[in-house]
Amino acid sequence: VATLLGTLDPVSATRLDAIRGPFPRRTPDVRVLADFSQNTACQLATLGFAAGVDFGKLLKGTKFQSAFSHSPFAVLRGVTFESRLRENNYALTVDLLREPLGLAVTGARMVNLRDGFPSGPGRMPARLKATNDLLGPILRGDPAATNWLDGAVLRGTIGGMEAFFEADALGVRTATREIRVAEVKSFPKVDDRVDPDQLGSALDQSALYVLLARDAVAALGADPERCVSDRVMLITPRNVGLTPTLSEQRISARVTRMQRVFVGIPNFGDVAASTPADISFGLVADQKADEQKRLDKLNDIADRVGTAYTPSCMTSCANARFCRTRAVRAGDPCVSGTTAVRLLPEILTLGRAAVLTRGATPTTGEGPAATLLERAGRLIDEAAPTLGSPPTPARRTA
Amino acid sequence: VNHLDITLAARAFAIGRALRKSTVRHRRLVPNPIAVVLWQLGAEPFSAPAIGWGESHTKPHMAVTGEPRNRALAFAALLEFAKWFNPRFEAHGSDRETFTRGDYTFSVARTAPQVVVANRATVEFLGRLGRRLAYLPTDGKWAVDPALVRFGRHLRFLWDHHSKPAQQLIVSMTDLMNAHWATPQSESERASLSALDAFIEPSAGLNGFDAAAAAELCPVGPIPDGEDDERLMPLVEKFNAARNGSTDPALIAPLLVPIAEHYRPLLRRTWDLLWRSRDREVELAEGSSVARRWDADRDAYTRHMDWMNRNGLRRTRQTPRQAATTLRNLEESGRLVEAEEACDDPLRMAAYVLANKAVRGMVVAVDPTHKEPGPKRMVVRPLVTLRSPDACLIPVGRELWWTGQPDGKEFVVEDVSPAPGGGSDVVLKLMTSSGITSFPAVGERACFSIHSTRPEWLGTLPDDDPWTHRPATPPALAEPIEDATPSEV
Repeated sequence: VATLLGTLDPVSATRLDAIRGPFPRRTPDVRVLADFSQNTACQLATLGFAAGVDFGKLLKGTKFQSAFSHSPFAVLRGVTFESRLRENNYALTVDLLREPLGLAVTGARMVNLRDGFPSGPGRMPARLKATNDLLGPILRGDPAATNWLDGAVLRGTIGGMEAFFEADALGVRTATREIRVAEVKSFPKVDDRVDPDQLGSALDQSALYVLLARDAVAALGADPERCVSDRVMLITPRNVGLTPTLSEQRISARVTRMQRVFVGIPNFGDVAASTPADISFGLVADQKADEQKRLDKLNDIADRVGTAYTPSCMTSCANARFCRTRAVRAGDPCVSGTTAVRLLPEILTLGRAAVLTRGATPTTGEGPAATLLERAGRLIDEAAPTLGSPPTPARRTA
Repeated sequence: VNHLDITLAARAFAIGRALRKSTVRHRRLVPNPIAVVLWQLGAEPFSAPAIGWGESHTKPHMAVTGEPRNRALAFAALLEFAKWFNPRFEAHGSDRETFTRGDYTFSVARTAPQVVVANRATVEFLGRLGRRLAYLPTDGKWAVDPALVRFGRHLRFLWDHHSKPAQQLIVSMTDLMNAHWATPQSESERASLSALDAFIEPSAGLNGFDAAAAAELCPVGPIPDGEDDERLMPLVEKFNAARNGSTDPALIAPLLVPIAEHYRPLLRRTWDLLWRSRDREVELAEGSSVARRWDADRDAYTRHMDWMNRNGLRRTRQTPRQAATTLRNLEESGRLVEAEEACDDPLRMAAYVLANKAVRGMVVAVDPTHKEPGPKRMVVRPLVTLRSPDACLIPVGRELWWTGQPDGKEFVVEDVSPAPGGGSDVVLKLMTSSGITSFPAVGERACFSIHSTRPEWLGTLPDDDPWTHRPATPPALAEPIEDATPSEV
C-alpha cells in the first residue's frame, strides 16, 4: 500500500510480507502507533506491528475475536462536528481562531488538503508535497502564506520505513509565523473541563504531529523549535451542542515522551531478520480455516517469539483476549495487574502463591514474599475460618 | 493492593471463583431502592436513548427517546422518568426527627432514598444529565417543565455526593461488589459488572475466568456496544423519516415501538444483573458502623432537600475556599471509613496486622492501678499486656486504639519483648485514668490498631484567602449548557 515508502532492503520487505501472509498491510496511523507504544515489551505485538498485521481482523471468527467496536453514532458525531468546522468556507473556525492566530478580519487563507486529491497510491505523497509546498511560504514569512492547513500530511520514519500521518490541522500565527498543531475532537467541554482520559490521548496525538512537523520544518531549512510551537490547540464542541470551542495547552513533556517512543521502535529489518523462518500469520488470519488450527498456530507463534501480557493490553491491543487466556492458563500473576507481579517476586504462578499461603515450604528465591503470604493466609483463616468453603447453591435466573 | 489482597486473589484463582474479602457488609442496602439503568447513544454525552427504572425487580419501567439528539424528544423521555422519580426521591424529606444542640434546633429526615446503578460510568452519566437539566429556564421561550429542573438538581446532588467515601445514597454496584469480593481479575475487568458477577457466581462447571470472558462481551451500559448500535442505526433513520421533523407525542408513540423492542432485551439484561447482584449482597449481615454513615447520608440528603426548597442552585466550579474545605472533609471521611471498616471486620483488620499497623492476641496481664509521674503528681496509667502470636514490629511510643472502643483514648506502646513460643508480649499504656476508656480483661482476645474513629478537629480557614488562592476572576456562575438555539436533528 502506498503509505509506506520502501526504504527497507528487499530481503526484509519480502520477509515481512511473508510473515503477514496474503493480506493487505495495515497502515501505521497515529492510533496504531499510540496503541503499540503502550506495550513495546511484547515481542508478538512488535512482530505484528513491523509486518503490518491487522490484529483487529487476525482472530475474527474465533472466540478470541477483538471486542473493540465503534458505534456508528460515535463516528457520525465526529464527522458532523468536523464538517461543521468546514461549513461556509470555515466560517466557525475563522471566528474561533481569529484572536489566537491573529487572523485578519477578512481573507483568512484556509486550505483543505483532504479535497482535490484522487484516491489511489499517489494520494498521500501528493498531499505531502502539497503540505510542504504550503509550508515553504509560511517559513519565508510570505504575507500571502496560508493560515490554516486542514488535513496536512506529514512524513515519519517508523522502524526504518517511512509512513504518512494526517494531522487534523496546522495553524499559523500571523504575527510570529509560528506553526501550531491543532486537533479536532468531538468530546464536549463543559464548565471549562473535558474528560481527562480523552484529553490525554488527544494531546499524545498532537505531540506526534509536533514532532513530525518539526522534522518537516527542519527539512525545509528552518529552525524547528522556533517555528513549530509545543503549544497545541484542541477544538472540541462546547456544552450540549456542536458549537466549537478552543483550548490551548503546552505539551513539551508529551513531545519528549513521544520522542522516546519513536526511538524505542525497533528497526523492522532487524525484526524480520530475528524472526524464525517459518513464522507466518497467514493461516491465523484465514477465516476459512479451522478455528482450532488457527489458534494452535497463533499459540505456536506466541510461544516462539514471546508475549508480555499486562491488563492494560485490553484497551490497546486487539489480541489481548487471546494473550489473557494464555496468561490465565499459565497462572501468570500478571492477570491480576502489575502490582501483583511486583508483590510476588520469584513466585511464578498464582497457583503456587495459593499453595504458599497455606504454608508450603518456599524455595530460597520465594522466601521473602512467601513469609508474607503465609502470614496473610494464617490471618485470613483466623479472621474468617469459613472463607473459601463450598459455594452457596447458585441462584442464577438468567 | 497489598499482600492480603494478593493472598485472597491467589486463593480465588486456585478455586476459580471469587472469595469474600469482608465478613460483614459495609454499606447499607435499603429494602426498596430506586434502580436505574441507562444507555448512551454512541458518544452522545448528554441524552439517554433508553432509560429503565423501578423500585422492584419484577416491575421495571422503561422509556425510549427515539432520537436523543433532538431536544424535545430527549426531554420528553426524561420527563417521564422525572415525574416518577421526583415524588419518590423527595418523599423521605418530609418525615423528620428533631434534635437540639444547646440553643440550636434542627431536623433530619428519618429515612433517605437510595439509588442503585450498575457502575461508575452510569453515575457519571447521571451527573452529566443533571448538569444539563438543573440550570434550565422554567420561563421564556425555552422553558421546560419544572419537574425536569428539580430532577436535574437531584441528580446533580447525587453525583456530587458520590465522591464522598462510602456514601450510600447512590450505589454503584461494581464498587459495592469490589469492596466485598476478591477476584484475581485486573482493575478494568473488575469494573465490568457482568465480568465481576460471572466470576462470583460462574455457571455450573465453568472456571471464573472463562465465565467472565464470556460475560464481558455483553455490555452493561451506559456505553453501547458498536454492533448493537449498528443494528439500531437503521431503526433510528426510519423513525426520523417517519416522524418528518415532528415531535408530537401522539404521532411519535407508535413509531417508537421498534426502537423500544431493540432496547428492551438490553435493559432487561442489565436490570436482572443489577438486582441479582444487589440481592446477593443483601444476604451479608451489615457492619455495626454502617448506621453512623447512613446517618451522615440522611444528613446530607436533608440539607439537599432544605436547599432545594430555598434556591436549589449549586456552583459548577468551586471557589478555592470551597475546594479546600471539600478536600479536607473528603480526606477526613475517608480516614474515618477506613478506621470503621477495619474495626467492624476482622478480615479488613488482618491487612493492618500484616502491615504492622495493628497487633492482636490474648491479654495475659492487666495492671489497672499502675502509676507514673504526671506533670504535677502521680497519675494512674493502666497497663495491658497482650501476647501476640507473631513477632510485633510496632515501635515503642506508637499510639494505638483498642478496636473494642476505637473512639476512646489512645494506648501507647510501652514495651515489646519476645514471648515464649516465637510471638511478642506487647505492653500498652492507656493514656487516661478517667475511666471513659475501658480496656480488655485478662484472657480476652483483643486487637489494637492505628485506627481511631474519634472525629478529628478539622481546623478553620483564615477569614481572608491568601493572595495565592485569590483567582483573578471568581468562578463563573452556573449557566444552562444548551446552545442559544437548540439544534433540532
